[in-house]
Amino acid sequence: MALAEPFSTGNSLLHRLDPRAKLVAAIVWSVTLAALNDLRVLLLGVICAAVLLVAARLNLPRLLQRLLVVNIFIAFLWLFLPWSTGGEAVATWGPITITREGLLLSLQLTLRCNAIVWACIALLGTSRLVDVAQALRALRVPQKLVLILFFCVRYIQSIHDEYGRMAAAIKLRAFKPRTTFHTYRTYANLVGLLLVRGHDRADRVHEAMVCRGFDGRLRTLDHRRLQKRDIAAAALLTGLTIILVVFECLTTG
Amino acid sequence: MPDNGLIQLEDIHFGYPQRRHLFAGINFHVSGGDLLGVVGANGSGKTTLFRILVGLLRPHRGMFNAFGRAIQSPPDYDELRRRIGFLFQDSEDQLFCPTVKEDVAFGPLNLGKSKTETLRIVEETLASLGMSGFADRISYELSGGEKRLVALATALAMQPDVLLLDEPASGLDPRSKRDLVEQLARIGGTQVIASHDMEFVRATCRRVIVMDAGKIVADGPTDAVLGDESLMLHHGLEVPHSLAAEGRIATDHHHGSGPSHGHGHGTSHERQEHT
Repeated sequence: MALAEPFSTGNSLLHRLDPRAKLVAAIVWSVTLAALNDLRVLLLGVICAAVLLVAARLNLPRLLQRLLVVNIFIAFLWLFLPWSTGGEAVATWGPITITREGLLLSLQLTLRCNAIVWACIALLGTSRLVDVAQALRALRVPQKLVLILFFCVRYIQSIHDEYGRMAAAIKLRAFKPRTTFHTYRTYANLVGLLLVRGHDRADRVHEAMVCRGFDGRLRTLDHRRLQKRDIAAAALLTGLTIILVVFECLTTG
Repeated sequence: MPDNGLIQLEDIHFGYPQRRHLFAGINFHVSGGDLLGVVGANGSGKTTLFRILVGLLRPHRGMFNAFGRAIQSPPDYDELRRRIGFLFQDSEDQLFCPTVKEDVAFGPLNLGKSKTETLRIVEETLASLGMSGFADRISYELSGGEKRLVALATALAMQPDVLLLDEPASGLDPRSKRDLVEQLARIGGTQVIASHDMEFVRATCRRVIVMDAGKIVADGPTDAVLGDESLMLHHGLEVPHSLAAEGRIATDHHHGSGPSHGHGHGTSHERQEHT
């Protein structure tokens, strides 16, 4: 597997929407969901995000694989938050006391993260990286940041391959990681070399771009025009977000 | 200096911090229609020469003329890069867009071509390399040989006057190498090819220069240079097997119409030394 853009090709409505519209919707959605606290509203958010995922008609096994990765991180929160957050005790095992507030906080974070990640996969994952980069430029994000993002994602696999080759090389020379100074030094060398090689590659890629007339602006063949459909979709998703905020305000009084 | 000289380097000095005098007065020229091979051991300065030719490195001293004008200011270098297509050693460095089509279109778009014109150039360039069906393929999923051809297409799409190819055959299997030789023969024009692969150089070039330690130590017709066994061995190279098989190896050092030795400094002395 090289650069992973597994959901970027498809023929669903979300694939056809303009990346700028999807990007705006994704930003509004993510920022708003990050600020919501009510569990019912967050659950509603998850349902909306699930509808988006269904509408995007993505490859289910790959989608589940990706969601699993996200939720592994969330699982760590469930390991620590329930007993490390103060509040009303619901269960006690020896020195560990599980609190109601800890459980609610974990649930809240789970719902929030999933609502955001699901929506972002449905909205941004259905565009190619280069189109998202163009959309960011259209939203006046500085060109340097856009290029950094673009090339980070583009070359992350090359750097990973480089790491794989170096890791294999040290393994072939009977290296076994232990809690020793030698191990730390070996890993430090490996990371250092990876940085140096990454830097060298960045130089070469830049030179290759300069040789082809690159002047700091990323130009692509795809010059879409915002259509009514795109504006309507962005408005719909933004409207949905506003409804969630209103619900939150109503439920919290 | 030939009248139809496209590129001339005269008395070029260049060095790196760790190797201050890599080029100490090198002279080099490329004429229109040249199919020039640049051979030399590792560290002989081939890639540095190419990077100077394409304006990625600036000589510390000397005269650099290309396409009838002195190359001095940044706009000169921009124009130079527009007219010289450069194929990098590692195609992975040259292919950074998601699809082949976009990679090939990158150059023409930067040159200000319209979308329609760019698409036409992309189609024509890919078709000329027999890669019409590759437009929507994902660049990083191609094989090594395919990547090399797409990288070549990205350079050709700029419609350059001169093609510089740095180790174009490295890492290619025999079939991909044959494909590349055929494509280069078909493209024609002016090509400068740096390679360690002597068979490849013999198959693609009519003139060859030998570099060693930043100096051009021989310059002449391909078979005369590559067939000079003592010259090749002395500079860390070897005679192509095909020439050996044809029995066309010269072991004496007094060629009437053979390569001219000693472009640069003290090379005659070196030659006497090794003979």
